[in-house]
Amino acid sequence: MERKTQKVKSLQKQKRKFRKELLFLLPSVIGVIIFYFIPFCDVLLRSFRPEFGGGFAGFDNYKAVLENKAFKIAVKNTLKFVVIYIPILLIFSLFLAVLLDYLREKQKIYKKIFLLPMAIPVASLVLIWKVFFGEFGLINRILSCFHVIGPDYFHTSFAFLVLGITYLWRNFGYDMLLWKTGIDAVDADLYEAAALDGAGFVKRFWYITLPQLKEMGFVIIIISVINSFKVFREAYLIGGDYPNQSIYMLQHLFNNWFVQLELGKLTAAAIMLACVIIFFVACIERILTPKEG
Amino acid sequence: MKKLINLCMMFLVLLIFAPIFITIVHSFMGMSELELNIGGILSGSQKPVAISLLPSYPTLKNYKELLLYSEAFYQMFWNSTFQSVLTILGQVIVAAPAAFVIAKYQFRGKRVLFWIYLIVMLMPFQILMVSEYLILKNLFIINTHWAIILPGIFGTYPVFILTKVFMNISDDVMDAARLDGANSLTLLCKIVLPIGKGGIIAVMILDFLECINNIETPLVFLKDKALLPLSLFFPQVSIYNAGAVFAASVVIMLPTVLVFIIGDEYLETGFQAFQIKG
Repeated sequence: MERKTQKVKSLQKQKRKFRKELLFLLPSVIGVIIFYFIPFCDVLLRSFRPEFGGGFAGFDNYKAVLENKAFKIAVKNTLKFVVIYIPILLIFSLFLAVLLDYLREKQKIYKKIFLLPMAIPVASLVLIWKVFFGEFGLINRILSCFHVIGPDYFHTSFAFLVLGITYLWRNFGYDMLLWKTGIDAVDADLYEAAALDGAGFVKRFWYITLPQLKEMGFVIIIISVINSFKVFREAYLIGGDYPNQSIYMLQHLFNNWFVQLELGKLTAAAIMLACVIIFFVACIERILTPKEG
Repeated sequence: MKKLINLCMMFLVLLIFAPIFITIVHSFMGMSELELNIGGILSGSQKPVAISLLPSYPTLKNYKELLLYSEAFYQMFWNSTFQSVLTILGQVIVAAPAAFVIAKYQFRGKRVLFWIYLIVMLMPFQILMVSEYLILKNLFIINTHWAIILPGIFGTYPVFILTKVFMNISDDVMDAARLDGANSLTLLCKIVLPIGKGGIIAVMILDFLECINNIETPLVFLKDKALLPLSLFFPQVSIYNAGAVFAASVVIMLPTVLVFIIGDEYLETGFQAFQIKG
């Protein structure tokens, strides 16, 4: 027994020295440096270089970007998308998770089915979305039964709505499952105690479930943000390089600047976007980082 | 109340299945029936769609056409397979040891490292695309499969998830193994990987989906049409190939849907890993 504790102590001592185990990190760290860190520094440097020739351009590129009309539109659309659809997605999927929890029966089959849209590749959706949302498509056919004449969803500002619906359709099951996992992990005793104290369903949800979902909530927010960037795929496959203006996202703009070799503007805009993301990470990282010893 | 909830759920199930079902049904239709149903959408005439729930004259012609005669599709299918398999394997080989160290060891700079990984994970591809293009060019792998595979391997999303998965493994088990003289490599192979198997499979499933859907990198890093993956298969649809495109849609979704249905349990284990208190 004594020997064991001694061994444990020596193990703890070792922790402060250099550890061979860090070699396990090496491949990943080297890869991240080559494919992400060096490119980032390069982008940063480029953003201060003039569009043509060498030298130092100061903040000229940044100014040019901020005055650029396409940039304003793309920022507006991207921001609008994030601000409108992420909250809808989070609240809707949480609501569903609570309903599913309340339902108890048939949970498994619903979970399975709700996850399915995530598994449908973007390329498979392109044609069927035309059948649904085309000017003479299924949705408008149904609307016409109520004597409503539907718009052409792809070539008007309704495209933004189609993109939002696609995002919700694809992600609500995934987010719901994550919420449900969080709800399942809440200690059942707490509910019983609260129920004994006469707390109703709503109160129990508000005072017990919700606070315990905090950490899961942040993970879900991160995943939802990442997935919201991915709607570009649907937008691109449906609309190409220049879709309807309402779904012209930052990614379209970046791609087009890349093709036109407007690297000064591209890198300056990239750095600004990166700053926004770094700020976002700084806000939430404390909750997610494993503790340092 | 329960009945009402069930009803709502059924409605959602319907919303999920409708597009999938209609795609499958149309993939079994002959040209004349497709023309009758969705001709208006494809030709731009003002004829509204008519959806039938079953094909009146079911045929496998579309699939035959697609698989036997469309060389481009066949090529893209193999490109996708090759790129996905190598990316996924590489990712797990790189990410699992890294996640193990981050989850189970204390070292200086861990917080900064995790911070950087989190940022890399959240950055849209377009931010780095210019410089990444140049790096891949300097490595002489631009316009090859490796231009897609290598940056994919070092994505940090798997590290992020696996760290969470491995943090759930109890320290007692590991300490016990250490006392028995196990070194870190044995710890990783004999304890962490087997216990974290569910999480690792979950990561692979999510990766697979990501690879199948990846259009950003092939769009920029591949110029050669013969290298493009399935995600960029979207030909000009006309009434003459609509059936084949529907069949293609079904073939493209088949692998991911199967993987999701089979790997369902593992995905849930993976999700549970998010729950751990840091």
